[in-house]
Amino acid sequence: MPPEFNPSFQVPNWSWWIVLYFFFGGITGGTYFAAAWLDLFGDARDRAAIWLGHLLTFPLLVLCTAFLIVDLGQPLRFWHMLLQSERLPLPMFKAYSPMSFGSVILAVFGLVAFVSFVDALLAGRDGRLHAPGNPIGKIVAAIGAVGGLALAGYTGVLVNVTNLPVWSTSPWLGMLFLFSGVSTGIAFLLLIARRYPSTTIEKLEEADNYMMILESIALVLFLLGLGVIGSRFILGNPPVLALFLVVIVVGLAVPFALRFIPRRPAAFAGLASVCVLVGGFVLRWAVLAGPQGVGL
Amino acid sequence: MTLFKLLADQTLPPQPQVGNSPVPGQSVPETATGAPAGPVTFAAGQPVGFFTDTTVCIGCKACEVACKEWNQLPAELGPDHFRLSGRSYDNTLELSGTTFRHVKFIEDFDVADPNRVGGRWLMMSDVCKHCVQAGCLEVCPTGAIIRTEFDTVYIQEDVCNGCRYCIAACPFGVIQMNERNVAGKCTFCYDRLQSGLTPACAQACPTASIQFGPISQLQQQADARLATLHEQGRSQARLYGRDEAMLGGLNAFYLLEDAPSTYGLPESPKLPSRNLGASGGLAVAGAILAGLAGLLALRKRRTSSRRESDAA
Repeated sequence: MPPEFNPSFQVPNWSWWIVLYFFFGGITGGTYFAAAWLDLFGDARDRAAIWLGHLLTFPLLVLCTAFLIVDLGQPLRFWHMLLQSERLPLPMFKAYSPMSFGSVILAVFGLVAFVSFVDALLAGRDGRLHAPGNPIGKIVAAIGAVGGLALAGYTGVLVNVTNLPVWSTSPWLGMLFLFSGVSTGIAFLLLIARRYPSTTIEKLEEADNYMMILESIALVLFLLGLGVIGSRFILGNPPVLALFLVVIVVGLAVPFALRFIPRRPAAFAGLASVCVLVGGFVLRWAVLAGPQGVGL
Repeated sequence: MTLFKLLADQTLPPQPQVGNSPVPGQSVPETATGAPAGPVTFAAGQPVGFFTDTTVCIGCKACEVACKEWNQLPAELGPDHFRLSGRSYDNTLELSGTTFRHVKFIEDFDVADPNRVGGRWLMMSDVCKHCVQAGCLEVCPTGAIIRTEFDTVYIQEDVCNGCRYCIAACPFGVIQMNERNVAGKCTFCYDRLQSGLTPACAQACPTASIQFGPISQLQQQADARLATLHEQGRSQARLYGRDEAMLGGLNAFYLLEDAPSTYGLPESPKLPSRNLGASGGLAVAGAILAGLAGLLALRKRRTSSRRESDAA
């Protein structure tokens, strides 16, 4: 082992709740980002997809926050991450702690997602806040898009900012989780909105393809960055290696192939989205399994 | 006069010296290793620490027992269970949320040699390092981990919500969850320090392997001891964590007889935040790329659909 290998690390036992939190966090951020981008740069035919994105994001956010809280040793103290429990009502924030940063992201993004959700629920597809000509709606969409990207990506930074082999060895996890999160968010939207106008579907598929290309590059850079640690914890660990192979084959190669088959059957589009979602889940499982084991 | 006042006014008769407990009015002799055998004086606001001289550790585990006793820590497997690990005399195996001191037994023998010539048996009482730049304190999102007025690192159990980020951040693998589902580690006997007392482990150590005191004083003792060992020809002896180069200095530092890896210690422990700039920067770059890719996808499809409608 290289001298930088730390022989005395302890694993935090971040298990299935955290895998699910990271996975649904990516989907949530990616879904809002896709809806916001269509809102900001799309056209009138995209209104249905924008509405659906706003409708889905907040319930997804509640779900992934629930996963995070359930995983805590003391779930009722979840608010200690937002407020100083001994100096109420002072806020709790450490810019250099990704988990503290993530708590603020969840709070701010949660507020934006809630506003958009209420607008979608009460005002229907045309929206009131998010109506085509409303500049305030555009500002909310822009803030939400940044928040969505931050939610998708911060989990990777959080894992990077530790002292465990694999997690702290290669600094590409923030970027990798961000691309994967946006990709799974778009795939989720595509899966539910597959009967929407074909132009919207084409735009989203095109965007998802770009995300998968970027994700592939980030994944290669992450794996190369592991160096000797990777050969011990991934190449030398067949179950973890198998998970990464699933990500590459099922999560990236198969959906690409399915989307580029000429005159493909309609079911292939849905299958491609399912594969992207499976890949997104297994990617987070594989990364967390690196030092912890596949059973987590 | 109330009973309370009567009791408060009582003065205790002089007590016989036990271990290195204070004896008022008596000068402090030195042990053979240079450690003070008498009381250690320190004040709030003054950084204190442990200097663990592994060359005189005899593996008696008095420190482990004293720590468990004072801090009322339960046995790892419950009161009616014990474990024989098969690893030398080490049945504790590691530090944990309920084991704040752990004596390591390192049997360095050539198993192929039936006479065991040149074998060594190293012992080391391990503990939280109370780093001056502490990774656990850095990442803790609730503010549960604080630095005390003695420069030690302390977990406030009633604030901790059990997120376990500190476990992943500690470069020494010190912190684990305790039976109350919050993070646990050595408190440096904060309650004893506040009362002017020596931490239980150092108080109990019969060979002065664990020395307690103001950090500057400990550094002088460590330097003198190292010089003595080098004069004796023990050239492999070295100090671990004495200098600021290692995480700003470890408030629990060691005298080792071999490379840190022999004792299961990292050669070059680092702060988790070393990755924050690179990882955060790459994530921001990723966000910009994702935004541009999204724009490109929308523009491309808009242009192609316009062409299709023009052609029609």
